[in-house]
Amino acid sequence: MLSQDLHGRAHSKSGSDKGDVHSSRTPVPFPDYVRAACESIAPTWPLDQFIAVNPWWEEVGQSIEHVAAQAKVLSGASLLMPKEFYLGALKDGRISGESLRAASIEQQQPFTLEDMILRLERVENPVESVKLLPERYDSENTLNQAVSLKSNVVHQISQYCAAYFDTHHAAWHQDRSNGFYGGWRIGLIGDRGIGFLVGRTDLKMRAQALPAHADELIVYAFKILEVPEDLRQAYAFALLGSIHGWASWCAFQRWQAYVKPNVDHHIYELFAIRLAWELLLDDNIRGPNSVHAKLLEDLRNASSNINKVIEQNKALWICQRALELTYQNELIRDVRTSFQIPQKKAPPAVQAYFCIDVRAEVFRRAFEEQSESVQTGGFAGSFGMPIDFTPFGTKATRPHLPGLLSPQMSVVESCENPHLNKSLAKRRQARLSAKAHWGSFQALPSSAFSFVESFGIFSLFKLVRNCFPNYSEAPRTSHEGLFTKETKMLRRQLVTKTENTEETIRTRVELCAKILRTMFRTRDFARIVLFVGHESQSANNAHASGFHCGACCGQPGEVNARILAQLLNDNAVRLGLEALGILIPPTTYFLSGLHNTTTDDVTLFETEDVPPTHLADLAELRVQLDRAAHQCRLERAPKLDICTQGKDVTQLHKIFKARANNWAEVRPEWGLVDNAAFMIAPRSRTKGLNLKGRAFLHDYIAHEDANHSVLELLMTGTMVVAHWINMQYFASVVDNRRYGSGNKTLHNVVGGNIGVFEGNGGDLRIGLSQQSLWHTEKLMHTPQRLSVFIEASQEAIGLVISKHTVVQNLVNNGWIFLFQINPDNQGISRYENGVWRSSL
Amino acid sequence: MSSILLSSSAFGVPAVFALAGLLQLCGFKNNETRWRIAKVAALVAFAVAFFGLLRSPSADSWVPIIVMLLVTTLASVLVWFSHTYLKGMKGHARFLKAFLFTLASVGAAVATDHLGVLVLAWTMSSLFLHRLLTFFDDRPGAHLAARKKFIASRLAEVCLVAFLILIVRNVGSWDISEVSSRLASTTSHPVGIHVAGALLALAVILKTAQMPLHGWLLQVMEAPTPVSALLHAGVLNIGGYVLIRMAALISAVPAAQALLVGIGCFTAAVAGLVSMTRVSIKVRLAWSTCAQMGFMLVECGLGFYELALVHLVSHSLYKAHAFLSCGDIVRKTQSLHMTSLSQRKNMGIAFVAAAATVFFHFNAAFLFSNEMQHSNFQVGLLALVVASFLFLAVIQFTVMMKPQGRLSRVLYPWIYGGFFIDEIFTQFSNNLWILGNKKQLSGHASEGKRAEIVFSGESSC
Repeated sequence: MLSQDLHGRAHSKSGSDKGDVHSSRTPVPFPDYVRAACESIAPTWPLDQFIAVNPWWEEVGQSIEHVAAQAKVLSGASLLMPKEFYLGALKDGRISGESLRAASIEQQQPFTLEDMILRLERVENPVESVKLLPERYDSENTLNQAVSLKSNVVHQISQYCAAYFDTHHAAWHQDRSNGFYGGWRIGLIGDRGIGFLVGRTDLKMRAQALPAHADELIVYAFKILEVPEDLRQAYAFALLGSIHGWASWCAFQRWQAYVKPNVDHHIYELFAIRLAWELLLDDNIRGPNSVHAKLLEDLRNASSNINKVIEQNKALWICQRALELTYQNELIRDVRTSFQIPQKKAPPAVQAYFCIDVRAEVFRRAFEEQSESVQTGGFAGSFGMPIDFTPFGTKATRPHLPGLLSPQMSVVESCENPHLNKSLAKRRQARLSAKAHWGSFQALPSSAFSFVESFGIFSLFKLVRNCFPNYSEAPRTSHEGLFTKETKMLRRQLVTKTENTEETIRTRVELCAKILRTMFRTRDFARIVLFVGHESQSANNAHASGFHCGACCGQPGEVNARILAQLLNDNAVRLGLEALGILIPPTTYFLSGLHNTTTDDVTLFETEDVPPTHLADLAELRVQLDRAAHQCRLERAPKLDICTQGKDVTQLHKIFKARANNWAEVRPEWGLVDNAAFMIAPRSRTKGLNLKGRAFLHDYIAHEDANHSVLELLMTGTMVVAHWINMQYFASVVDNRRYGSGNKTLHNVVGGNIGVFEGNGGDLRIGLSQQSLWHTEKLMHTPQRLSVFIEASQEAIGLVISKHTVVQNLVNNGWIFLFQINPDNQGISRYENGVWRSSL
Repeated sequence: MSSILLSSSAFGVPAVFALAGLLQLCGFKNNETRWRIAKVAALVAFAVAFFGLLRSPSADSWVPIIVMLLVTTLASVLVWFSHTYLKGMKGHARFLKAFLFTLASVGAAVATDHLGVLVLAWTMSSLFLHRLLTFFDDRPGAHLAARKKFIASRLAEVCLVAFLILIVRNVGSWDISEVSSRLASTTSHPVGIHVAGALLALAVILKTAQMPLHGWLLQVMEAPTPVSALLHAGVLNIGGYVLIRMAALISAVPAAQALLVGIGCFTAAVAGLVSMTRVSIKVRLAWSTCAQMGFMLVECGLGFYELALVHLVSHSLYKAHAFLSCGDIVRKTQSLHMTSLSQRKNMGIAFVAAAATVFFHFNAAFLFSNEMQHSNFQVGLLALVVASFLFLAVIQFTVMMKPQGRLSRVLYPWIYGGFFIDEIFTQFSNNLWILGNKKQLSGHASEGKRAEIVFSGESSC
């Protein structure tokens, strides 16, 4: 895996730090209260595989209201919109009076619309969040600092973390042999500047006095700071919360290690570093009225404050719920009408499977409108392929499956001719390293001067060229260093561990059978079955991979779709499937394609292999896809501020393409903005409805899933992925400062791919930028929790819930809403703490 | 009057920008109109500058014309970029006003042949730029950096005023060309001229963010990317341009040469090394600018004004592109991941070593071929330059060959901390500011107001 290459070094270093080097020392186990704090942080993925994460993922075991209050009190974070937002929504009808009443009855606090407006307009004393020592000293204003102590502390830790975790950006790295915490301590002892900035001239001595190991520091610090045992957990939460970005990065290290499986202690050491800063700044004054006493008082009040915030937030949660209810009620009404729509049973000519992604909903709708013989389905974009992919001639293996899972198989690229393989790989590496040398030639000081003087002038061409529209296709990063002619020779292949052909075939057959069954496509195959992955196209965009396929770990879904089509066209595989009772007629051909979500173009792959019998079908398909693409562009244009009036197909297409290639464009597309629902149901339930690109769609046919195994897979895997995406948007909207990455025009990429700073420094920023969420005073994403609709029996759904704690947590603690669609009586019920209540 | 402005075509550029800036003061309802004005202004300014080129200029007006072309090219690129980049954000009018007036000031500084106008325009460019640097008004970091820059720039302007007085009293003219020819005609100069030369060198050092007052340049990433590009590729280079225009003065004053070479060399070497340790893209680019500015001053100090001009133009274009395309670093890193590491490292070092050797060879040869005109003093300066760049190369290679070696480990904290020079200045500038208005910056940038852009803009329809 890529991340293994990337972070293996850091891992092994800290591993040896804990084990071999200091074997004479028995490490002190981390206390439970520290453990609890460290385990409450969810991971953040690096920028080149920037998948969505619920930042509260590790806390879903508690109710969302409690997590919100705790986050507010302990770290000043928010899980709700400011009340002005709800007031606005109440007044302009985004929250209907009917929903508000229903929501307040749910909470046993009946509010009328007028009551609620009065309640929200009432000024309340906000509950103070815990102030840690730096912030305390800042507010006491005892020191005359240029920058507040709080930001100095964050900045120092953040810069250190960046230098420690960076492997590719800087040309000169620090000595990592002392481990994460140890290296920080030594660095601080050698730092002659920070003392000035924080107004502690004895900082060096204080740093020297710190224990050399993180575990010892933790014990020592709590003792010196005289924090009573029962307050330590709150303190630990608050401390880690003050460096939340890097804590999330450390949590990613832990996540990676866990998959291996391995143990990773970076987050504990980060905690130790932050705790050490409290010691470094401590004025050693104790007793009443001291800063120290105020800190303890804050911590002592924390639990009562949490209750106070829960009480204060109640009205807001009712509004939030009412907002969601307004949407849900509309959707339920729409879905109900679908029962009345007669489903035409024309035999399909094309069966096209798209990713569940909300952007695919728009395309599928447009595609289906082209012809009645077009049938579309929704499936996770990784197409059930548990693979990683290694670009030709490189070792840069990257996962192509959801971040929750680890790869089981590998896909590699090669030419038909093994001899050519070797020489081509060599040539590619030579070109890539030439490029890398050129890069270091530019960057390294002894050559940079002459470089700039001799070659800098050539930037003029790039500057001018970039000012003109560019209509080129999306560049293939995985094919960098190869000419188009050469890439055409490459085939992607699934590698199996054994040499045994029979076993290879068997594994492939099993994989395909599993995928087809999950897809509910084991019979009635159309002449063309198409698998469409998706990718995004943007230029000069640090968060580009965040717009790619989340199910493929922030990569384009190309490889997965291609391999699946390839396997299913293989006669040996088809024979094997036949033995398992899945009969694919010889008239069926599998195709793969890639949906460009920025331009809505669909590229079809390996069309040169299509047998002559299917060429007419292919030509028709091509026309239908292009028409659908145009329709999608028309639908998306207004949101992107593109004027469609008086523009023909080509002109509009060009505008979208130029946008995708524009280096100054901060909103290449709206991504998964406004996602709100997840339908696990047959397409007939949603066909003909305009879901406005707000719903994830996955096909599910309950009566073909007798043992509920597919349902279980969907509810524990796909639903969680959708929930992560939904919560990433939610979190980035409700508290962009903490869970979002701020203003894109200030983004400053750290370590080449670790993440971004907003401006000079500060904490590492996670989540989405403001530009991805707001436009012209308008919030483009309505923050609402995912509403999951499943067309299956209540018993089956209940069974899966009872079997999986994860699902229980999500549905019982208010992280998602779960609905059941009953096709028999056309009723829709909501799951509420173990009880099904009929909706509407 | 003709002396104030170099030529009528050169006069056009600042006038066009100033006019466009004034138009921004009108209350347009539609931001698109504002941008259209700015785009037209940039193109007209470019056309005017190009026209100047076509009019077969006299020998001594080549430099302003080239630099004017550079400024107007950058202006056009930046206007086009910013239009898309800032879409849907608040403050377009504010941005464009400050942006256009900054360009007008830069244009005036480049166009004029009058020393007084030059100093005034230079000062104005710094003041308007200040507005751009604090574009995000709620970011304390932006204010801190802008304050540090404010102090360094005002110090520079004090030097410039003293320099003006001395020149006018000793030479008796405000004209750059007049002053230059008079200075060139004699070999011995009064003390006043020497002091004036040294003051000019000092002013340029302060304005081009040389050590030890370099810190602000590294902390101005608190404004939108195009502002960083404008600063690094445009405004900062006025210093080099003025040195090239005032070549006659610098050539006559060994103290000025020593200052430029000494500070420039030190900054180029140290900032170059520091840039090796930087982990975020924009900050690394900023350290590299700091080093490149040092290199440009060295070239001026050694009397290679033609080279300095080439460097100025090349670096401007290179840095503008590097800043504007800095989001691309993630893709570049991905391609680095695909490059096999060990091979890359070894070959990289060999390649860089070779390149550096070529560079030294070339430069040394070039320098010594002109040695006839050089005094012993200048040869001494040259030796210093060669020695310090060699020193830089030796350290770089040692560190890269033995990343875990003793030298690398001992030196790293110092280099990483930028020799801890800036912290003192930060605290000093803060104290100075507090003496002034008692306002302390509280909280980090992002902890300011609730981080929400209030967008204001119109649909392009």
